[in-house]
Amino acid sequence: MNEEGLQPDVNSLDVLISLADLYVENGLFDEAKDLLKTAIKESGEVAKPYLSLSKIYISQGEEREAAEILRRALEIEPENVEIKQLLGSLKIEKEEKVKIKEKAKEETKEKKPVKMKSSDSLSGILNNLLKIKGIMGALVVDDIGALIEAHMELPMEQESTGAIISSIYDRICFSASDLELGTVSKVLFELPGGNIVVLGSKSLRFIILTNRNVLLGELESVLIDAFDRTIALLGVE
Amino acid sequence: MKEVMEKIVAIDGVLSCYLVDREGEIVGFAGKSKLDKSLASALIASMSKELTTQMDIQDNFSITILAAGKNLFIVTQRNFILAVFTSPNVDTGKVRFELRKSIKEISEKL
Repeated sequence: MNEEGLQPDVNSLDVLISLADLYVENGLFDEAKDLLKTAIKESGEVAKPYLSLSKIYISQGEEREAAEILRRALEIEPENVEIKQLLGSLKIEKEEKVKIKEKAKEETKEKKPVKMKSSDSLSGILNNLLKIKGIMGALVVDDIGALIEAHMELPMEQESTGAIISSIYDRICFSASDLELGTVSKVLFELPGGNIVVLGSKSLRFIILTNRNVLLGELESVLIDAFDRTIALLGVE
Repeated sequence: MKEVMEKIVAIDGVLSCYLVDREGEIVGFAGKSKLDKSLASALIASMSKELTTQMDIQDNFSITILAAGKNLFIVTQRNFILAVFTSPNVDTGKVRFELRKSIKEISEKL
C-alpha cells in the first residue's frame, strides 16, 4: 500500500476484499464490515467494496443498509448490471418503487395534466395494447430492471422476463455509447419465436412482445403514444 | 462478398457495413467510418452474444438500434454477423429489405 492510501493501489483493495471474504467465511461479519467500510473510505470512487459490503448486509437480512450501499455503488458505476440486479432483487427496493409509483399516480391525479386521457392508468394502457392483434405482452420496468407492471398472454415469468430484457437493453445501450450512436430511443429484437420492442427513457423500459407476423411499422405510433402516456402517468423522466 | 456489401452502402443514408465472425473478428468492411474497425466489430459481436447467452437463441435473429446520432442494424446468422450503420433519418424499411437479401447471398458465398 502506498502512502497516499488505497486509491492508486488496486491490488491493496483486492487484498482487503479477499480478507473480508475470509472473515465472512469464518463468521466474522462485523470484522468484515469494518474492513470494507475502511476500504470504501480510502478507495473512494470504486464500486467493488460497496458490492461486497452490501452482500454481507443482505446475508444478514439487513436490506435497508444493503439498499443504501448499493445505491451509492450505482452512483459510481451506473451501468454495473450486478449492482442493478442485486438492488432490484431487494424486497425493500421493490416496496420503495411501489410507493414512488403510487405517489406519482396520486400526484398525477391531483395535477390532472391535459395530455392524459380520462381512461388512463398503467394497467389500462397495457391492456389496450394487448387488444391489438399480434401483441402478446407488455411490460414496464424501471431503470434497474424491477417490474412495475406487466400484462402478458404468454406463459412466462413476468418479473424475470422484464429483468432479462432490461439487462440486455442496458448492455446494448452501453455498447451503443462506445459505438458513438448517441442516445438510444428504441431497440427491436427480431427473434425466431417473435419480436421484442424496447422503448427506453432515463427511468423506464417499455417492453412489448409480439408475434412474428405483426406489422411493426403500423405499431410504431401506437407504441410511442403508449410509452409517452406511461411516462406522463408515472411522472418520471 | 465485397460487391454485396458495396450494394448495401450504396443505399442513401447507409454509412458503413461490417461482416464479422461470431467471435468478433472482422471479415469484411465497406463504407466510411471513423471508428476503430476492430473495436466496432468486437462490440457488434458482443451485442449479438448478449442475446445468445441470456436468451439461449443461437442464430437467425436481428437487432435494430435506433439512436439520436446513428442507427445500427445487426443480423446474426450461424457463422457470421452482418451489421450496418446508418444515419438516423434513413429509410429503415429499405435497409432491412436489402439486409435480408444480402444475408442470403453472403450465406451462399460463405
